[in-house]
Amino acid sequence: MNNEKIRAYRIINHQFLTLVRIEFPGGADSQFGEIFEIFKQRNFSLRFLASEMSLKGEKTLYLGVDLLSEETMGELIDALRGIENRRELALISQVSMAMLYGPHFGEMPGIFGLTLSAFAGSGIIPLAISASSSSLSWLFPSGQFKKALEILHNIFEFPKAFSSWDENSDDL
Amino acid sequence: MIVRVKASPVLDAIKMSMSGNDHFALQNLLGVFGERGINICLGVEIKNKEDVMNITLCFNPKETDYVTTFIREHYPTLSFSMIKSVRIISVFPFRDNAEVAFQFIKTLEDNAVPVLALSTSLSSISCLVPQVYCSIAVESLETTFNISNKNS
Repeated sequence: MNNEKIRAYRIINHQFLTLVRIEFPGGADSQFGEIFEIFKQRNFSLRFLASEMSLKGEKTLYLGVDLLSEETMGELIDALRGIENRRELALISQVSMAMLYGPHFGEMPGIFGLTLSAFAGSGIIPLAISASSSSLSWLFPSGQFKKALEILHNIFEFPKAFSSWDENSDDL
Repeated sequence: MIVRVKASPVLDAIKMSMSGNDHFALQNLLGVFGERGINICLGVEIKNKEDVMNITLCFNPKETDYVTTFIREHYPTLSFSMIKSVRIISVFPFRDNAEVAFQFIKTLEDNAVPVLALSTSLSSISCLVPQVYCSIAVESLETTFNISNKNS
């Protein structure tokens, strides 16, 4: 990679999110269906969603939703406490996320590593990362969000018309 | 809403665990991936409560030997596991929709499809499944989302 900015198509930010983290021990059935049903019933938008299974078979699920009030958090915790087999449940406010889209990213290997190096060089360690061949998403502690955005704008260039997207935009 | 289900070609995946405060090994590994032109078709990195990063990276199987050898030579203490023959199953569109996520994961659970990793992008919700579960995953998702033309 040279020092020229990499063209990206869109960046979408959600600065004010609540992270729901649920962990399941290895070997246990993870009731993701039940969990998503709880979110569906409350009509939450899932701004960030990723799950990973460790080498020991333990599963961790991250769900980022628009910032919840204390009342809603309490009600959600009560609902999620009923999930069987879970080992850990935590609701963390506030976190932030950025999502970068470029349909050509699949033809440009190295972007994942490049961004991770740039973040680490500034002391930013994302809570979670989700990558596909056309997009990258990061979940950050809220205190690191502004700096993380600066870094992304230093690495990538965006078409002016699309450089700043309303987080509720449906035009995706 | 027109929903599509798509399956990737057969891929290999590496699963790793490392300290959540030290991205050095992951940075280096991803740097090597980039220099070698290895495209990551799906990548998920999540920290758990103990601040351990669990990572899954999927790539073309022709790179598996190189990746395995590189890690063994340069990071002999790194815990990792190579999973051969996996597929990424995606449903479009997603648009942050909890109903789609619920239908997606419920269908996979009801059909006993093991999900190795789960992620979303701008437009899709995707999971990583062993190759042998690809057909049942795609067919059951097509049924759930009432897709008559099999375009996967």
